[in-house]
Amino acid sequence: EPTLRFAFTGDLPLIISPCLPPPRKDKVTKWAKSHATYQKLKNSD
Amino acid sequence: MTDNQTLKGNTKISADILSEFLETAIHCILYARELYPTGVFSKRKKYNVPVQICMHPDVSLYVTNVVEGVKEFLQNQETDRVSVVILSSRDEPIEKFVFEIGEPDRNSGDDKYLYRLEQSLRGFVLKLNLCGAVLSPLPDDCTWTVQLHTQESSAQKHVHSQVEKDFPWIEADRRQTVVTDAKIVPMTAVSSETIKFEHNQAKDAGIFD
Repeated sequence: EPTLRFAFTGDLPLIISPCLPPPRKDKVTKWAKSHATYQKLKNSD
Repeated sequence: MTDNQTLKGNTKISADILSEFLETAIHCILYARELYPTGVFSKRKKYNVPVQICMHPDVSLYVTNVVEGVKEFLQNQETDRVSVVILSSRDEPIEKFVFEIGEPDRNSGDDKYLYRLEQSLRGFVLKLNLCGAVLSPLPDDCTWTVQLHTQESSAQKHVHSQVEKDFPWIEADRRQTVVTDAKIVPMTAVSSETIKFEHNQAKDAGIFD
């Protein structure tokens, strides 16, 4: 029982962060380049 | 309506406002600190000022998921501090943007239309937009994370909903939480009853010239 556990051990401060990492910069850069090319082609139509 | 219901309502409104602000702030930091190429950002208007929002679908979704996670804690007043941490390639924190969250003000009756709060948030966003110009450039291979200060019991309470949303939060790596030789760059030019903002930057550790 978590509540009981905290009653015994005390409710300590904790720092949490997302388990999953954010998208990598190189992956986003690659997307940006292809997206820019796509936009250019789209605009030239 | 009882005092308790009013307070609950105020807390929910504060959580909504703060999470919306946090989402904007994260995008501003990502842009200002060049954590992603400038080409993936697009100009939008928030709080009546132009802000750069990341258009990359994965980044955008990630930020939304982070903010949704933080909001759960904000709604129950289970966090008093949220930090956006910039990490080096060695997973050491270089910079920390700390958002200290205060108790919602019970006597904010004179700001019924939240005009003053919006003014404050506008001030914060403008400060964030400018931070890229006043801070030292970051190394190229930096990454970032968000850290939330809470209690063990609160973290435990939200585990199930986080797993359901496919975006679990875990205890932060100790290496990523402490900024050594940090200096605080004050950016608290505007203060508000609900939020206080602080920025820490690692002084040397061989990262900056």
